[in-house]
Amino acid sequence: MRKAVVVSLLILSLYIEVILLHFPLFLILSIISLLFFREIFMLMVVFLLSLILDSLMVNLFGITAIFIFGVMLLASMRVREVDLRSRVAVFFFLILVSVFYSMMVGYSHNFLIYLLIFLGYGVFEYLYRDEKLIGKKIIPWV
Amino acid sequence: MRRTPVVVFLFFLLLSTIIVVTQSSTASSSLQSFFQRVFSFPRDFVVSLMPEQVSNSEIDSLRSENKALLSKKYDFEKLSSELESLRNQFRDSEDIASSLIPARVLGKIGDGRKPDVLIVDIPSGVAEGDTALLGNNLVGVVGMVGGSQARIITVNNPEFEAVVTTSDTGASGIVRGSGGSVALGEVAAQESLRRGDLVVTTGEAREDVLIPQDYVVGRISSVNDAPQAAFKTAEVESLIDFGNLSQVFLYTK
Repeated sequence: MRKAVVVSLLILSLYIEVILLHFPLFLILSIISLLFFREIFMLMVVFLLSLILDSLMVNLFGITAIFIFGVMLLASMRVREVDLRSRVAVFFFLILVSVFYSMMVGYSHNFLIYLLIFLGYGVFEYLYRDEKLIGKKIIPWV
Repeated sequence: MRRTPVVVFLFFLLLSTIIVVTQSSTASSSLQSFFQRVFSFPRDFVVSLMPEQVSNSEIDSLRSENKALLSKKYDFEKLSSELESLRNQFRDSEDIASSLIPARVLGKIGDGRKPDVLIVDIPSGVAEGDTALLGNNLVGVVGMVGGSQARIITVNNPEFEAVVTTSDTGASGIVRGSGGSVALGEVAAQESLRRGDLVVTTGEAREDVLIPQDYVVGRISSVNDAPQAAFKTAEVESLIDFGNLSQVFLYTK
C-alpha cells in the first residue's frame, strides 16, 4: 500500500514537472522515496520513470537517473570520518543536486522556490525524526 | 526492510551512464520515441485543451482585416513575382519554403511569455542546429533532438546567439539571449543604433549554426550608448507572441 502511494506520487510529480512546473520535483521526490524504500523494486520504478521524464522533456537521455543514483550512492557511503549517510548530508546533497540539475536541464533559476521546498522538507524531517506529528497517528503510512 | 547494497546503486549509475553515452544511437532514439508516443497523452490532452484566447470582437476585427488583406494580396503577388525574377538575376537563392517543416509546440520552459526553451514534436530529418521560424521572425535554433521531439533554444535563451544587422542604420552586431530578453552587443561605437529599428539576421554562420538571412530577431526597445565604451549595446524585444505560440516552422539544412 505504502509503495503504491509512493509510486503514484512519483508518476504524478513526473507529469506535474512535464506539464505545469519546470522544477526538479521528480528528482527530489525520487531521492526521498529511495531513502525510505531502498528496494530493488523502487530502484527499477525510479529508473524507468526517470527515462520517461528525460524523453518527454527532451533532456539528455539518462541524465536524471545519473543524478538520482549518484546521490543515492553517495548517501550510502561512509567516507573516512564523515558519515554521508546522515540526513543532514542527504539534505545538503538534495539542495546541491537539484540546483545543479536545474542548470543542466534549463529549468528556472528562481532560488526562492528551492528555499521553500527545502524548508518544507526540513520541517518534515524534524517532525518525522521526533515523531511529533508524523509517524503513527496523523500520517500513519509514512 | 531489506537494505540495498551500494553495488546496486553503482549498477544503476553505470547503466544510466551507458544510456547517456549512447544517446545518439538508433536504439536510444527508438526507446525515446516509444516513451514519447506511449506516455505523452496527458500532455497532449492539456495542449489540446488550451483555448485560443481570441474574443469575439477580436475575431470580427480579424475578419475585416482579412478582407482588406485579400484585396491587397493580388497587388502583392504581382510585385513578388517581379521581385522574384529580379532576385534570381542578382543572386542564387535557396527555395527556403521547400525546406520548412511545421512543428507543434508541446511545452515551454522558463517564463511562459518569454520562454527559454520550446519542446516541439518533429518528423525525421530535423537535426541540431536547424532553425525555427515563424513568418519572417526567428524563433530560435534546434538545441537537442530526442526521439520524435526536439528542444528549441529560443532567442531569449542565454545559449542563443546570432550575427545580425539593423534594418535602417545597417549597424552589425551579435544578439544573445539574456533570460527573458535579447541583448544586442558588439556594435562598433561609430555605428548608429535607433530605438524601434528592426534587428535582422545576416545569414552568417556562428558555432556551426547557420541561420538564414533577413529573419527578424526583434525590435530595438532601448539603446545603451555610453560615450566612453568601445561597443554599443541595446535591448531587443522579439515580435513573437510566445505566450500563444502553438506552432513553428523548422528550416532544415
